Amino acid sequence: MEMPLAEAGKNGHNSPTMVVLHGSWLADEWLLWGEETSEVGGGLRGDCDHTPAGDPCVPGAPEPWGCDREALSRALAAFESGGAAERAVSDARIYFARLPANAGRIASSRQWLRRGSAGASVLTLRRVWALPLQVNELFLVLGATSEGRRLAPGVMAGNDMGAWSDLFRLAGAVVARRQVLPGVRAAGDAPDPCETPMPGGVLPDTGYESRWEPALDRAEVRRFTVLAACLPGAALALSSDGASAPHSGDPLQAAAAAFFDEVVDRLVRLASVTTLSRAHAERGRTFSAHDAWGASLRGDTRAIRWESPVEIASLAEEIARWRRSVDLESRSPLHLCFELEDPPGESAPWRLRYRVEGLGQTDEDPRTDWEQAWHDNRVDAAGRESLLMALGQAALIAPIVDAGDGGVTGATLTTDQAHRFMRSDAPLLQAAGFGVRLPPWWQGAASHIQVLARVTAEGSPVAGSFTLASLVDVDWQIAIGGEPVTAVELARLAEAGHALVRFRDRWVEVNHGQVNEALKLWRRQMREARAANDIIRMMLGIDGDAHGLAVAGVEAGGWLGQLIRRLRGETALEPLPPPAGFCGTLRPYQERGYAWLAFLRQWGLGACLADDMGLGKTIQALALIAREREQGERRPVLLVCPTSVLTNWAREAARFIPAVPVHVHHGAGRSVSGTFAEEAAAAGIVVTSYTLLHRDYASIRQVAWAGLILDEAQNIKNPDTRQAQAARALQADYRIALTGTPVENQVGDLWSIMDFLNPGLLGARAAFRETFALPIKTGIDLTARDRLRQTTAPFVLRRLKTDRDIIRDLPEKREASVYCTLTREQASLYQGVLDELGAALKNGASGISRRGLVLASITRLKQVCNHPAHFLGEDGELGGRSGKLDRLREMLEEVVAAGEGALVFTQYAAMGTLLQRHLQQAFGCFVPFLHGGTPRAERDAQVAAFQAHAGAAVFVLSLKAGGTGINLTRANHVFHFDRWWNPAVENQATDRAFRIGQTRDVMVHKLVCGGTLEDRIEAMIREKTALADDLVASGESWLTELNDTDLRDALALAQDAVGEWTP
Amino acid sequence: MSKRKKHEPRVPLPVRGGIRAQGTRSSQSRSWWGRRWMLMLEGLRLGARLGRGRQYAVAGQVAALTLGEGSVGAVVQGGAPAPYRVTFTFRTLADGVRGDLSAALGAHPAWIGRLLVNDLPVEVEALFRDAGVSLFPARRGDWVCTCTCPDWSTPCKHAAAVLYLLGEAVEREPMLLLDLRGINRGDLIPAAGDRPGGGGLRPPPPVPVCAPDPPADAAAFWGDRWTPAATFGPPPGRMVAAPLLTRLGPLPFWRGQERFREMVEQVYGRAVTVALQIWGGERPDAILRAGRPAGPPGGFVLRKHRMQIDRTRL
Repeated sequence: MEMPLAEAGKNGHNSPTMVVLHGSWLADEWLLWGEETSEVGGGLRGDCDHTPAGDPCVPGAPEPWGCDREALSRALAAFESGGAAERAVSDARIYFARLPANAGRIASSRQWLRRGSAGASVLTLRRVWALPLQVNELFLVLGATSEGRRLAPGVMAGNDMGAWSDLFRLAGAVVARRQVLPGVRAAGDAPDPCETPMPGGVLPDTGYESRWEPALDRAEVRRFTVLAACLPGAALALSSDGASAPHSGDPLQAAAAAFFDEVVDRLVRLASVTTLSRAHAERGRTFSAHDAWGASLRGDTRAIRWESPVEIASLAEEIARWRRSVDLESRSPLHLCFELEDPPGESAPWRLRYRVEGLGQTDEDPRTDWEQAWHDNRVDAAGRESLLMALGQAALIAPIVDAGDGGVTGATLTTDQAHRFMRSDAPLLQAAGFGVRLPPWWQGAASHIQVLARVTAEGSPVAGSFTLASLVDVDWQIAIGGEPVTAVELARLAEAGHALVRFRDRWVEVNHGQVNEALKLWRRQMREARAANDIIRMMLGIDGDAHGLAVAGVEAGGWLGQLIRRLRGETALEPLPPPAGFCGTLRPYQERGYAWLAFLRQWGLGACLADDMGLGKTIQALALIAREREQGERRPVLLVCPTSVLTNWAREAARFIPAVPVHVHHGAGRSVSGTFAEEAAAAGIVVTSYTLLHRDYASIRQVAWAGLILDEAQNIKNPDTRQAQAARALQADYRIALTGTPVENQVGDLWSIMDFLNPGLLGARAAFRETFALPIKTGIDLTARDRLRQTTAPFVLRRLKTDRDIIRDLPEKREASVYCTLTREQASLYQGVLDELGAALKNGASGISRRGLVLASITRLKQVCNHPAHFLGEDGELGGRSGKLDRLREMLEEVVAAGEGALVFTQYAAMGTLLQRHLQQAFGCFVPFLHGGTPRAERDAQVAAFQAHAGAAVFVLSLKAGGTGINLTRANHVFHFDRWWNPAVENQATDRAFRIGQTRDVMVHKLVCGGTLEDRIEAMIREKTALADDLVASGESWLTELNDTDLRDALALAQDAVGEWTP
Repeated sequence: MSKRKKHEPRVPLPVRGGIRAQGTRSSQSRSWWGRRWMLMLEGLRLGARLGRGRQYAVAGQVAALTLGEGSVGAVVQGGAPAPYRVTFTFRTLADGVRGDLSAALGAHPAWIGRLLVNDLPVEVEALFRDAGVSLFPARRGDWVCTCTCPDWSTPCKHAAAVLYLLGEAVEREPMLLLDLRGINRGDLIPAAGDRPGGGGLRPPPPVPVCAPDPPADAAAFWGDRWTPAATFGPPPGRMVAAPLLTRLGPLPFWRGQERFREMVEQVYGRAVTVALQIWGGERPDAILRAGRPAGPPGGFVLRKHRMQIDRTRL
């Protein structure tokens, strides 16, 4: 995909711009236009207005406001928008926009520059470029918006687009509920009456068009009205002539209705037009007006072609008469409902009551009886007619409505009739829009006859003695409503011959097929041997079926019982002492996590450790690896992580489990195939990146892996990527996924990770989408999320820093160094600086000049470590060029996803500006940058906004900025992007986040480029605390005191520093 | 019949836009009241005139048909240049009987409801029978027919054509039967002293409508903030393919080649898949596919193919 951002703004700005897209409805067209906002100078420029000062604001003024067509095209090219990007250049036109202005300047949408109110403003006329979107483009743009307002780096959707996309999704819901009817409308532009039949037998246009029209019931109308009310004024801002179009009623609601109409028709057409139907609509033979209409309904164009317009007109009338009752109903506030009540006694008849909603009864019972509503003098003739029609329609659907006592207030039903009503009539009535209330015990489609599995599995789960393939004895127990029943009772139910039977003081639906299955099961085998795996699957709710009966529950004893209780988290895991070779201490919660990993590993089940960032997922995984080694494992573990943390992993492993040899498979000089297999076999851990996982897959798969660990496992969330496919295809005894993002909240992403961990657990991908993803996303099945959780919960462990028992285990302030890698660009720049310095030193610089030279070189090396753009002072694209910046962004994404806040400190103002720019693009909102030059008022406003949780969760500060008195306690993460190597200064900065009133603890991340001067100075400070105390206080100047050799060692670039591999 | 008449060309003059009868085939799909009407027509013993009347109705010779309370007027184009005028006058019920019947129907709102949605409960006929009148104008005395044609046997073929069309009208709207006997909607839906044109409930006092231009305030203009709506309503019902069609019944007078309901259900079936994806906030494959250029026009090939088939048939 091409990068969307302009390298230069159109008015000669040198920095990339942020585009905010808007959509406006104008005369049956949806127009896309945009604002372009420059990112100059750390957001110090307020609301941007590209109009030159003194623009006369009159039609015909030379310079249109906002995005020009090239900018629109670039923005559209940044995401999937059909052919809109190409069309924008040729098809965008100038429109007039009424925009709010303040003292002659347009008040921009400020959704990314979110600061204090602009005060009152007036509408001002400006010219803007706008592109009328075609239907598929519109659908793509709105679909992209509903996934989030950040459409692409640097491209945002305005609030109006959000409101449009909500209406769009409602259109989807309405069509999915099939609240749509085919119709006929007079076309806006009447055809030429003198038109003669076209050659080739093509029929003339009748001047009518076919339409799929939404036919909303009152609930749908209510939903629509609520969403339409969210449309902001920008949705109607454009006009073609600068005049405000005449509107009756609420113009926004009218625009929403027109848009909704259009979208519903287009949606149905888009889905139903086939090659055949299109050909038929265009050239097919039609034998009647109805044929012509039917063909047109499934064509790309709406025009109905038929010889006689009069016939189409009468068809329109017929349709209007036909759908009259639905229209009447949607307009009428009265709603017919049916309520079935339990009979007062076992042999007493059931009562179906007809009730009416909409006459303003009490909140507890909003309905009135039919009789009462009928005689209510507020109800007029149209209301009565709508009620009668509703009753007549209900009678057509469910004949019982018309039976019994003639039905003024209700009907009297026998038990069998009541059953038929609940089983077949009620869903039909509900689907047709009637309110239906059934007795609370009725469970819809759920079966009442189930089986309970009683499992005996003797023995205790000593490692190795049982596996999931072991057979266990299962006793089936028939149950009704969760209670076990005897064979005699079951037989009596079968004999009763009714579908609805009174059983143990309550009503039970007896499905005779199920009763027979149950009786058969009773006669044949109430006891059988099953694999433990089957039982686990039943327990997780994956296979809910045994001998054709639903499994109501599993009761297990013995070792399997213990296993199940532990999987469910009902019994605590036995504490597991850390392995002897583990050099470090596990906090209590880490010990629990480690024991949990070991427990799942023992059973060969995959585990997803999803602890919050900073809780130490790494060392829990390392402890497990050490334990495996100590238990005799000789095969290596493959650890896959993002390139930016390769070094970090290697170092952490060396530090915490030094006995386990680590091999980093990375870099241009890495070994392949046979050599790799040997090296891997000699190592305990092989660390590699996701990129190499699929590139070197052929080599990697030849190794017998003990385990496969994915760090930042969200990298395989898209199952179509090669790395995800490679990860799933690799064989290993155990699999672990580590991730700091709350995977369980992203339904779409869960499948790939879970299928990697426990193949088949969530079924095939398509089935998963059908049974879990779509129901959860649309909210159509409220149990889907619970079912998914039930299935996945045993394999996901997520602890939050805010959990009470975690907080207890944590120190108040934790510090960790985050080791990052350099990119090749960084490495070559770094080496260049070193070479220059070496040459200068060789030429015998000494004294003051040597000191200045060394200090300058250190600064430049630090700039290179920060970012090539920082060192070069350029203004280009930032992503992918600095290992440190990429790592920072990854970590911040986790912070933001967890709803937390972060401060990012740098000592360079230039780097701060780059950070601000990059993070704004990454998060799509304004990121404040506080530095020495920030005016006090602005500083206070930004701090207040951050503390008030308005805007971004990230705050960039220069290390020396503001000095004291800034309180930023919203943040609980502090990042030191580059180092001052002065603990006092850094601690003072950290304390901004760590103040009284801070309820959460604070995590300090110090970003260090491994294998560079940053890394070595860090190590020196750690080793020589005395040195640190005396010398480090003065910053970096002590480095100038080192002799040439020591200096070279301190600054040199290590082999493993580069984290990027290019072929 | 005179000799001259025998040799008169029997082909009626064609009518543009005449009302065509659709039920040309067997009566098996008819409702019970539709079948009763046809039985009644056959009971009139019209002989060949019934067949001719049917041909007239099918050919669209009836140029106009107006229904009044207890009367039907029609313009039928025969062989002569000037069309004939046919009038039926039905005997309406006496006020007393009408009142009794209205009251009896009023006790069964569900029956009235079914009548309003073009269904006719069999009980209604029984109700009429109990009141001593017939629902269907079966007896000769129930109606009088006149026609301006020279044929002096009544009903003539022109009247038969009108009766034929009337039968189809009754078929789709059985309430007409009651209308012909003088019982109309107003009798069945008591309007308890209300004003006409209401929307169901008496309208609330009017709320002043305001919203001319987009709001000038920047926050209202751009929207304060947007969070995706949490819910878009309940799940679609699983049991019914076309709930609204179930509710409304078939579109009357359908003349298409395909069955109307099947056509709509097929479209629903395709649309629901795409609609669910849009509802879930996903970008549906269908749209991505539609975004690409359609390639060579497939319709052209098909058309050619179809024409070839046509030619071989010839």
